Amino acid sequence: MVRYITPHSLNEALQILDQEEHCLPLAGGTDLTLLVRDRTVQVECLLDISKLPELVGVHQEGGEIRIGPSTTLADVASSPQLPTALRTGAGWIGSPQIRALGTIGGNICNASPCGDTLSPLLVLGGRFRLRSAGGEREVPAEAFFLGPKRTILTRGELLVGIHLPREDDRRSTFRKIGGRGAQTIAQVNLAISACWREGILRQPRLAVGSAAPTPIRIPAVERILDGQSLGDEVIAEAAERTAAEIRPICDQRASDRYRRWVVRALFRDALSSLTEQEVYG
Amino acid sequence: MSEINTRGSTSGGTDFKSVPIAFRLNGRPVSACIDGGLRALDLLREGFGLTGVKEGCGRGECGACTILLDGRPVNACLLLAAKLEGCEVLTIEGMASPDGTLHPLQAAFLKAGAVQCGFCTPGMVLAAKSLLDARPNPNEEEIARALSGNFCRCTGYTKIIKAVHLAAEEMRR
Ligand SMILES: Cc1cc2nc3c(=O)[nH]c(=O)nc-3n(C[C@H](O)[C@H](O)[C@H](O)COP(=O)(O)OP(=O)(O)OC[C@H]3O[C@@H](n4cnc5c(N)ncnc54)[C@H](O)[C@@H]3O)c2cc1C
Ligand code: FES
Ligand code: FES
Repeated sequence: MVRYITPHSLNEALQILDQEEHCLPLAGGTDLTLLVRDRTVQVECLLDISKLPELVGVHQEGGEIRIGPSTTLADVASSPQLPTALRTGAGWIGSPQIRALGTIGGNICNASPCGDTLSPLLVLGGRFRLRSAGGEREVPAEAFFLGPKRTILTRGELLVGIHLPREDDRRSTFRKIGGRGAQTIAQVNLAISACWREGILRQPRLAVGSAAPTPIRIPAVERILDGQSLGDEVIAEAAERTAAEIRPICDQRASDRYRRWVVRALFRDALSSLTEQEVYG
Repeated sequence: MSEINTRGSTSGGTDFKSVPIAFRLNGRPVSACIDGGLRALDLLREGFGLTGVKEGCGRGECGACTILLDGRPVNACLLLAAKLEGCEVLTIEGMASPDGTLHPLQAAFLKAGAVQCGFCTPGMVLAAKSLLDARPNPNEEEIARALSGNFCRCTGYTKIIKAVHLAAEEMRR
């Protein structure tokens, strides 16, 4: 028997998580429902946080954008105030059915190395606010992921906010390769953001997903690109370095060699689309 | 799977079905008492006898179990039944008018020959309905994208896309 609790407020939710030993937060359930059903996860109680008003919606606050973790992937994909990389990443997840139910917070807390909102969040300077009955902390997105399906969340703690700095002159882009166009888990995904002014790339950030146990930033390539005007040589060097820096796993979806090969092509494609963008993204 | 009691009472004194829910199903108010781990797919098929909700993969991949939840297509196999609380649910059984007149999409699927074995059809029709409700005049790419979560092993999709165009035309009249 599984109990199902729909709390009325975030505080109530945190109290329940504090008191109930075997209670798991549930957002859209597109990951968790199968685990509960297959009994991969033993659970006595599910706490539905998908409709808590404190956790839903995209808000502009001063120089920041705050995304509630229970915002659906469909809503993230269609929020014009969000940067291009994040909208594109969310819009490429699964199918319309998955995006109508699945949430960005679930994608983050599920911590799959191939989560398609994760590399965008890494290059957009994302910060996560975590709260439990005992208190609150805020961490940069990079510090949140420990390994496949492992995060720094402790028992009783919820992701309560995803914060992005508003940087009007930063552009961003996302690319993904899977087995086919739609409904495909990424074999590799990649996000780039940078300021591009007068033909020079500044403060570039690159992150790759599905190429290591967690989504990763690649600082060595960011250093190669910073302050450059992106001639063929720089692009070639950066693409090679990207392939060299990733630590791909070899699984049933793709071999290590294939992932290194494909990440070069994705990188080149993403970079050229970034410099062609006209507006804030 | 646990037994479903659609009348809302708990059986034998043991409180196995701990979650009371009420929602609108194909236009009618209904209620049930369920286990928190029960899927909407099982409640609809076994509790309410709506076998037009098909189970293909059971893992969110094929779309055969698609229903409309407040107008949006979702996979009933990934949806916990408790999430139906307070919602408006449409299954293929609720598409035709009460007098039996087919919805333009159903009529168009028949006319275009978009049905072979029919296993994918309820999900296809519902996913297409949510598209046409939002975009009365979609192009081919928009149709393909809206149906990207619905697999068909028989038709090769061409006739399905044609059927959606036909229905869109009919519905704009
Ligand atoms: C067919 C299919 C295709 C898919 N395709 C893709 C794809 O292409 N790309 C991709 O990235 N993903 C894909 N997914 C995975 C999935 O849809 C996403 O990870 C989704 O974003 C999860 O969100 P949810 O709200 O459904 O999470 P849930 O299943 O509700 O939760 C996931 C986990 O996060 C925890 N959790 C949720 N919210 C919080 C919170 N606020 N605080 C703390 N913990 C929390 C839950 O306890 C659970 O452990 C696919 C899934 C399926 C079934
Ligand atoms: S049965 Fe639900 S998607 Fe296949
Ligand atoms: S008609 Fe047979 S699966 Fe589509």
